[in-house]
Amino acid sequence: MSILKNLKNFVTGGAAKVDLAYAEEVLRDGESLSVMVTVKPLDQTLIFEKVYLNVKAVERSAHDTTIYAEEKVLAEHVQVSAGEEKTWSMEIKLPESAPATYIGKHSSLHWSAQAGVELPGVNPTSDQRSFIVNKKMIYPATR
Amino acid sequence: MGLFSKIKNYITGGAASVSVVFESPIVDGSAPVRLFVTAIAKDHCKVKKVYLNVRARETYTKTVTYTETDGDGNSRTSTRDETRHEDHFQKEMILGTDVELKKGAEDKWLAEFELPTDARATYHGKDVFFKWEVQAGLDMPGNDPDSGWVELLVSKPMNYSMNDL
Repeated sequence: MSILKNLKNFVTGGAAKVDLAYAEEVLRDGESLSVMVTVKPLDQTLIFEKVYLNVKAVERSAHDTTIYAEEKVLAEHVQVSAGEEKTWSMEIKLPESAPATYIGKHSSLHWSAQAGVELPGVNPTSDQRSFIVNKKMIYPATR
Repeated sequence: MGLFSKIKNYITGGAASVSVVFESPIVDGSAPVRLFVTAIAKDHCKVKKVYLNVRARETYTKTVTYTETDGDGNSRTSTRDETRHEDHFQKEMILGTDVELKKGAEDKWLAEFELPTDARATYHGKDVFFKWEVQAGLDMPGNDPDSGWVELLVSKPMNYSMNDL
């Protein structure tokens, strides 16, 4: 691989293709998020510091406010050869206090996740993928 | 009660204290909501009607841009976030008409109503809220004594699908 291509991948995060898939996009009370992360180096064998997943819940109104964020590590110090494809699976249990998806007319709370691999420079990442949490919430009463 | 006290109550709505007590402060919409409205009069008074307002209110923030022009015609634009509300459900129920309240006596009215089948669940976020609230009041000359808005928690799993995003 040329130095220029290496430099481009360093800057753009284009050294590997990362895909994120869910077994179910809609979660009910108490259900875990079942994820599959697939990584494929595009040009050469790569050694990743870690394969990770960022899960977050963002409240949208005039601005986006992150209500919940967590990083899950699926694997560490991984080598994947050029042309090879590796998949990791994980069950992610959201905490009891995690909010339910809310969809208003002018505001919302959305859940999403994004997978990535840690490399020098910009990390290759998957698309941000939404999922839904349909659960019963008990809030303290206010006046 | 002296004349000044009567005038004060006329202006402030302090002629009676009104409160709301839910049968259950948390509901899931599968059964009618039941509540008691209680009024204790501070003096003998006549009430045209006893009412209950129900609302489902979305509270959110909106970035608003204002342009001001001074006397010389120079415009200045400023932006700020404002808290806004939209009511998605409103209902008024009449619980009693032409009621006479005796000084110190406690009067009670039972109210019952159903939430719409597609009622959104309560949401309490950071800048965003979706609340079901009720307000009981006495229609009297001057300011109406009322309970203020009291929250009813609607706790149920929603049935959102990916198409709703």
